[in-house]
Amino acid sequence: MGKPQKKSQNIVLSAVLLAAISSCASHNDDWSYGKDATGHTHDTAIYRNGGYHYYRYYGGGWYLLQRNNMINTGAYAPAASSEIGNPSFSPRAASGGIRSGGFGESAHGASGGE
Amino acid sequence: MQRHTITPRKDWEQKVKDQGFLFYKNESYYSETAAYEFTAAEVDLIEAATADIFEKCIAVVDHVIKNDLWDKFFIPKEYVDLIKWSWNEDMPSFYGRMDLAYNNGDIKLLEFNADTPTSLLEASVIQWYWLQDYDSKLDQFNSIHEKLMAHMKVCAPYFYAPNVLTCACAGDNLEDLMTTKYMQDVADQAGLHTDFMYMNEIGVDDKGEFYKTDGTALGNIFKLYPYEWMFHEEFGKCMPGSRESTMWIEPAYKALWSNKMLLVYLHELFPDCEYILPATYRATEVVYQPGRYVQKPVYSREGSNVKIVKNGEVIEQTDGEYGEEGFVIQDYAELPDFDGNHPVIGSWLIGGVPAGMGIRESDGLITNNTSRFVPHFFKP
Repeated sequence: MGKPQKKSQNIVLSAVLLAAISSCASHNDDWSYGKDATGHTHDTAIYRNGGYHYYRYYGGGWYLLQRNNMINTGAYAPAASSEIGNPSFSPRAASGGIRSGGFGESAHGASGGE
Repeated sequence: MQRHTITPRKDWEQKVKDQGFLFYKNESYYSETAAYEFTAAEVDLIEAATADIFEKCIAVVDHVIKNDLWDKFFIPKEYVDLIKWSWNEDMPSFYGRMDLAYNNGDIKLLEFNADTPTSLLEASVIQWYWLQDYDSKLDQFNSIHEKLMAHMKVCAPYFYAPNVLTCACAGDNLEDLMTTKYMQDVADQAGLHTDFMYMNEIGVDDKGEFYKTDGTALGNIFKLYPYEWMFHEEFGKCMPGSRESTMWIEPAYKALWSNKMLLVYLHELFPDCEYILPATYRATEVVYQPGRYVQKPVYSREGSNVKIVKNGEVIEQTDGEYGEEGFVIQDYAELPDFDGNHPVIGSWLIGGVPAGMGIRESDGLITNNTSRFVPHFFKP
């Protein structure tokens, strides 16, 4: 008799992941490089709470710039220039979701993974 | 270990997307044009090395606690008791990933991503399904999925009330979201009650207890969000006082293993271990040191601020914003070179048991967030 296999016997993905895939796949449509009519992007960096926060100007407001060099216009409402420079500013969800904000500030759109 | 050029499956992009790998395009992270082949003996070596290194990591935590080395690890004082408590109580841990250099049977630990390891979905699911299509008779060092599910069932009886596992990550990052959703999916299949929220949605009441957006208590939380961030954020200070009502997974002692100072103390305690590279701490950047070494910030993520130096000359470096706490200087481990592709093995542990591996390769010598995920197999 040979050694037992070292791979999983079977993998089934269930409703939780499939729902996330469906949600995010459509959500992907809201991701944008945020280029203007001439194909350029306009970014700014704001130093706040010990780190830089990057924003891109698009469609009349500033959006948090993500690690993939894109913005998510579906998830966030655009912010005014006066707002992003405010130390207490936190990007608002487009849907008005709750943002308690005591955790999450360090991410700056980056991965918490390693 | 061999690298093979392979032909991508005709519909591979749709397949990986259907399996949750929506971030495969980020910096050409996955293109299914290569695969690594191992021998069964090589896999056994990697598995045994992972188990051996893990035992030594346990010894380092005991050493830190016994000798009060918290300052050496830059752990804020207010979290020392929480870390000690999580260790002494053996609070549940799901997973971790050791990054290993593997070169002709020589294995060296590069670092231990113990707190918030990613590339999980790729290692557990994506390469498994790829192998089913490529040649299902082949084997793969990858029982991550079933070990994770089995281990979650073991952990579940220890959960706090309400008996729900909340899965959480930072917003705005698709990779983190899908990795967290995968964990939730596995937990759900393991029979656990689960839900999801973003880290910035976590609430705290005036007693410092954590709660969810619906007002219910946050009993148990798997967080893909590192302790080094949480320790410096406003709600972090509520963790010690609420340790009996909110269980954080991974547990707080992971703040020691995911810290690069682990490498220094592994070497100090086990200088003759074949898997451990010599490593020292420097408060500032090294001006000159003979030989080849790698300079890594004590805290850094995804290969940022890493510098490879040979006899004073910088061979390769990455930029970033880390380095405030100083640097770990680790001897350089030669990576294999397959026509300019340099693979690093991510060796997974589930509940402290070796469970599989995923490979990421880079054009350069530093593995970072632009490195590619490549599937692997071996002949049984």
